[in-house]
Amino acid sequence: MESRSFRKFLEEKSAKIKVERQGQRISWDEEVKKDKHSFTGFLEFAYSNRASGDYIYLDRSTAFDIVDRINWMETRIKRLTIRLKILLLLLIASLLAAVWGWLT
Amino acid sequence: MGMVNMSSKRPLVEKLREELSRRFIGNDEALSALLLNLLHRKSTTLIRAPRGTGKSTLMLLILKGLFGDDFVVISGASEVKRGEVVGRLHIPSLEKRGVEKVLWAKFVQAQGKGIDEVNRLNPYTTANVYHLMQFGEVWAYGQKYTVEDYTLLATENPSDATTFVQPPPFYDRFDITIYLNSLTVSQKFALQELNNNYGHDLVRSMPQVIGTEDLMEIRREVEETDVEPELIGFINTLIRDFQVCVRGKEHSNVPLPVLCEGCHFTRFVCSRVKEPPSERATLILLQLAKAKKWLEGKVEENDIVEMAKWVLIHRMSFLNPEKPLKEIGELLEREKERMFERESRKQWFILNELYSNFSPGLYRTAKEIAAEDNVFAEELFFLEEKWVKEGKISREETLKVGLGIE
Repeated sequence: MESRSFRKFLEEKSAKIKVERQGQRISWDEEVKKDKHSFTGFLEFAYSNRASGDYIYLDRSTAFDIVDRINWMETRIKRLTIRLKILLLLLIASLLAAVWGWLT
Repeated sequence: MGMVNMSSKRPLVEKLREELSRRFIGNDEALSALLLNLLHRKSTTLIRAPRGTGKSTLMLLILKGLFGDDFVVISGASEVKRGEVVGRLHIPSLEKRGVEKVLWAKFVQAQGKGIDEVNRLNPYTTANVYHLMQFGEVWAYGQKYTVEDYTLLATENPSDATTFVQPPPFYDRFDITIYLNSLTVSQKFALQELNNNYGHDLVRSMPQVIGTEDLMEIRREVEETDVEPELIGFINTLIRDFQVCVRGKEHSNVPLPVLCEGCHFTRFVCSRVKEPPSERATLILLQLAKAKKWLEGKVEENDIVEMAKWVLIHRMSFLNPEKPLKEIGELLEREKERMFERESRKQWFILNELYSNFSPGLYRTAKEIAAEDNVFAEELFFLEEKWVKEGKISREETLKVGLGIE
C-alpha cells in the first residue's frame, strides 16, 4: 500500500543521492566500502576468527561443498595412511636388516 | 539527524537525572533509556535484574522524583487482593440502598504506579494490570474506570524461581525493559559513601523534581516533537528486519531452524528470531526518538540502534535464548552493517524512481537488490502487482515467481 509518509521518506533519501540523468538513462558512482566483517558465504566465515551463535544455517550447495571436501579429505587420509604403513614397514625391515648385518 | 529548539522544561529532566545519579550508582546506559521512556504518555518500564542489584530502589527513586509521596506500589511477593489493585464494593451503599458502588483502588487512581516482583503476580492480578495497560481502563462489578495518563514501573528477577510464568503479551505492554548489572569495586565504594551521606535511606532523601503539571507539559511537548521521515524510515526498516520472513514465520507451525532450511535469506537477523516483535516496538522506538530529540536537541541513527536494544529484548524470542543481551547486541551490530549496505546500494533511490516511472533497466537492478534484501523485496512485490495489472510486466517475470514464493 502506498503511503504519503513512505513516499516522503523515499524522496528524502533520494534527494541525497548524486545522479546524472541523460534522457532515460540514470547513472551514479558506486562507493566501494566493503565492511571488514562482511562475509559472502559460510566458508569465508568459517575461516575467519569470528564467533557464531549456536545454530549455523547452510544453503544446500555450501553443505554439499563441505561434504565434498570431507570426502576428499577422507580419501586423502586413507591414501596417506597406506603410504605411512608402507613406509613404516620399510623402516622396520631396513632396521631389521641393519641389526642383522651388525650382528653377523 | 534532527535538531530542535530546547524546551524550558528540559532542566527539570536534567535535574531528575542529577538527583538519581546522586543516589543510584552505575548502569548509566540503562538509566538514560529509562529517563527517555518517562517522557511520553502512559509510560511503562520493566526493570530486570538479579536480586540485590537495586531494581526496587531505582523504581522507588523514579516514582518519588516524579510524584513525591503520591504513588502506589503493589508487590507480587505479597498477597495482592483484587480490591487493592482494581476496586472493592462499598458495603454500606449495598446494605442500605442496594447499590453496587465501587471504591476504586489507589493503584488504579494514582498516576505513579509500581509493581515489585512482577514475575510473582498471580494470574488474576496480571490480567487486571494487562487490561489497564492495553485499554487504559479497569472493570469491577460491571463498572468501568478510565485511567488517565500514568507512569508504571515494574521490577523482575529473571532468574527467580517464579510462581507464575507471565504471558508474552503482558511483557509486550511494557515500552522498554532495562537490565541492571551488579556494581564494580569502585562503584561499591561510591554506593557506601552515598548510603552514609543519606543515612542509609536513599529513597526517603529523594526530592520530587518534576510536578504533575510539568510532567504533562513535557509529555505534550515530546509528543509534538517532529522526527525526520528519514529517521522514521530507519526505525521502520530496523523493526521490519526483525519481523520479516519470506516463509511466513508468523503463521507457520514449522519451528526454527527447520523453517529456514535452504532459505535464501538465512544470513539475516530473521533466521535468529523465533518470535518477531510486535508493531508496538516501532511506536515505542519513535516515542524514544522524539524524547531524545526533545531532551538532547538531536537524535541520530546510532541512537536508534542503541535504544532498540531495550525496546526489543522483551518482545522477541531468540533461536539462541541463553544470553539474550549478548544476542540482541550481536543482531543489532549486524543491522548496522545491513543498513550500511542499503545505503551503498542506493536502493531507496531506485524504489523512489520506480514509484515515479516504470523503467525496465531500474527494475532489473531492483530485482538484483531484492535478492539481497527481503525487506526491499516486499516493497518491490507491491509495485510488481501494480505493474502486472497495468500490463507493464508479466507475472512470470516477477521476483515472487523468480524466488519461488508464488
